[in-house]
Amino acid sequence: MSAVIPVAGTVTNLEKAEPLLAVRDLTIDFGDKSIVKNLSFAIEPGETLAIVGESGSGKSVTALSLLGLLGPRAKVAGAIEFRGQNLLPYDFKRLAHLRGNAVSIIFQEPMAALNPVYKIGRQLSDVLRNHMNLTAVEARIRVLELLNKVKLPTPEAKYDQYPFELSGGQLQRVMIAMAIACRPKLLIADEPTTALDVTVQAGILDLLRELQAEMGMSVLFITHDFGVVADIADRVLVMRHGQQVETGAVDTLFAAPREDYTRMLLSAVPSLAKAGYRGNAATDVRSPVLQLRNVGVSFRGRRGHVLKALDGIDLAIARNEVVALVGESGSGKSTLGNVAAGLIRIDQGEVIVDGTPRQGAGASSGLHSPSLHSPGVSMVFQDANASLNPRMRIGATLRAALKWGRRYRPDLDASDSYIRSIMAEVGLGPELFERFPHELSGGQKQRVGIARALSVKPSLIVADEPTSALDVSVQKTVLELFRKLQQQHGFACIFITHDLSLAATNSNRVVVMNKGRIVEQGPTADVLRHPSDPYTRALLNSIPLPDPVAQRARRAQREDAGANP
Amino acid sequence: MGLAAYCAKRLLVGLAMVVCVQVIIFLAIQVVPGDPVEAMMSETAGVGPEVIEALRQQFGLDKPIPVRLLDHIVGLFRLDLGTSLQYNQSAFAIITSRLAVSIELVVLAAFFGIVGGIFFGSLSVRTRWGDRLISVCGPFILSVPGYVLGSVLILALSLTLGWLPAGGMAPFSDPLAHMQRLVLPVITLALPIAATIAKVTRFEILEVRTQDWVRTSRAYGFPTKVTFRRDILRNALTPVLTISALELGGLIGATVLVEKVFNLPGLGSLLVSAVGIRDYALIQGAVFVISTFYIIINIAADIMYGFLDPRVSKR
Repeated sequence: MSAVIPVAGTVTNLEKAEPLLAVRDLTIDFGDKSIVKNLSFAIEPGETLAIVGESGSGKSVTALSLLGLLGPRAKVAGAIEFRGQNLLPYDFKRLAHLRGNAVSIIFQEPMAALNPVYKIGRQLSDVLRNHMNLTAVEARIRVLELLNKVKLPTPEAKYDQYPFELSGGQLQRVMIAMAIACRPKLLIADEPTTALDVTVQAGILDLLRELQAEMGMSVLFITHDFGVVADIADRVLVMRHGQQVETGAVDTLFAAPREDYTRMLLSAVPSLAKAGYRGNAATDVRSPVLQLRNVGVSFRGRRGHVLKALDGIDLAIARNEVVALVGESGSGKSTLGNVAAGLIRIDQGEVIVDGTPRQGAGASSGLHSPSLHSPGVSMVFQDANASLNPRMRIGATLRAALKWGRRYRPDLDASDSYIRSIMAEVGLGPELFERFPHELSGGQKQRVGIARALSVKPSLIVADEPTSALDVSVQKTVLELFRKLQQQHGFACIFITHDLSLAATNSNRVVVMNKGRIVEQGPTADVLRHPSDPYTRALLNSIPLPDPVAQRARRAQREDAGANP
Repeated sequence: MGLAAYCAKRLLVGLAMVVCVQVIIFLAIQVVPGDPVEAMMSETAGVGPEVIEALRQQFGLDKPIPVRLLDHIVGLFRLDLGTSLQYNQSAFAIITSRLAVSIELVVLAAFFGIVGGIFFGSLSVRTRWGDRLISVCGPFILSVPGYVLGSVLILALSLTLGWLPAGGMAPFSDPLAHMQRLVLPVITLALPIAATIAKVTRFEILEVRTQDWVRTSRAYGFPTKVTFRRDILRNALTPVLTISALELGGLIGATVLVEKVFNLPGLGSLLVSAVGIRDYALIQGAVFVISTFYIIINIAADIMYGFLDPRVSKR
């Protein structure tokens, strides 16, 4: 009984094999702008290397450069050695043989990465037949095997469906099937779970690990999420401004980061374990700012199909209180936010803002027009960039909101000096008054969004995923600002987020939604520490912990539970 | 909704539209001053008012307008378009005898215009000289009216070089002569279509080329040609189809002038002469055929749309 037990994540070969991929002094320029500078790394067979960095760090550009996918404008220098052969300068004939065959790639947006006009089966068999000599019938059999392997439900039916008929998670499984079709040696995964819900993300990460163990391929995993890194990586490379900050085994890097930047990134990761929960707000629940009674909203889909986006929602929010709405995409949390802001008409129930009926019984005035005694609701949007008119200067954007507000509330001050003072309050310098949105950073744009919501002195602010488009370090400062303003001004707030750890640190109360209904609500710390609803528990268990040791323990626990249900 | 139900619905709406067009045309000709029988007889000296009255009765022009309109609409459903004043025979027979030439012109011009447009549009993206060709010739072709283009072609290729006949038509029984006489009119009609389609194709290709699935196609090692055909051109065709359907509508109007320039015995030239002498039955009959054709093209385009973009048909 002296069999060698292979340990996951280690190379079992006795002699040290040459690395599968060795990148040396990789430098990538677009025009005279250097995106990647002197980057070197190697991936051993069977190993997972995660490249982590914030947006603009050059991590995706690095991934795309390995397969020569950057287009003619990119100048790529250095050496990319795959199985001892240098791919640089690119020989596109040889690359075409490599692409999707020995090296394959999956992308961030599975919906966009598949051609909308071809059926799933056709797209997969095209890939197979491109690299292998298969008849149509053989290809079909192989495709169905692959779809089974990536655990796509009802593969026979999915074979004849179009991408738009599948969900994001299902499409990412299709993409993975495509990637493993020709049994690659290296799989490049470029933020493959960023666009997916946490429970879906957990499934995709499990699948990738399983396939990797079974097929023995190496994985280059590009991500900005340290939770995902802790879950999947053997080794980590932290990038910033196109350069390596530090690299090391995953346990060492998380336990003892050497560089300040890594430490900063790690500390900025929102975490439930470390979360300083917010307590209850000092508030008067007898006169709520917003009251929803039995609210229902239905959307009419194709073929007369009716989707209940909201179903029997009862919710009251008082002054000074921050309520987090959490749930996955399609749970109805954004719809509820839009109802609160008066952007959607309800089909059933009542909406009462500041004691005035807005929709349903007794409502006479417009959906959301504020008045002297009812300052109303304003909104901070998810995509700060898209919510600012690109042709309006920042000052003019803020003035427009105030001028609109003044139609109902003459007490509002729309003067430039007031606008400048609001800008100062959210940490925007006066020089930005005359700037256009494209001249601002993502964090600054969201600060403009917050200033706009705040300027009209609302009694309730609906913040719909206000930081989901921002890097973790920026997210942290924006949320700190938001929290400070909320405490100063005492407005009530609906904070919509898919990230439970953000809910933990930023809300007094949490409302968990699933399929248009509220499944659980209560003080944040209670709900997140002792969830009573199975859906909340599933949600909590799916979040990868930004700690490789803890994450491994939980994975083992989950696999045990899966093995003996 | 199934495809059959969809087609049936569209055809019904189309039929209603044909009837509406007929009513509008009928009323429009009535509003224009002048009388067809008087216009016809004015050339013949010494016709008394009683003769004119008799002719009127013969053609049913003495009845009140609503009655004539109703008769006409009912007649449509029996494919009875009335009697031509000019030829004194069934308008339907005259129109069908002229239809062949027009259909030939429209079909050939549409085919060469659309296929040529897609070809040159693709070429303009893939080669530098193709790009130049499109950007120089396109605006030139589009800025010259069809009849001028036709006249210039006649002057150059027929009168000066003598390569092709200048006009007229030969019967089908003489295929070579028949085809020779179609070449210039078809070129005249197809060029502006090709120019427009090429421009749209080029624009759409540049748009589709930046999509993620094109990157996927490259990342999976498909040959450049396959990526272009399968993942770029194929997706670019949906909007091209929309423009093609609109262009075909314009094409039917354009044949009127081109038939005149090349002296072809088609529906367009028939319509022009019928308007000149207020031959009610012929005008309405020709408009009936043209509007039916136009509506059928649009329905066909909508059905094609479903084939080109599965999201349309499945929704």
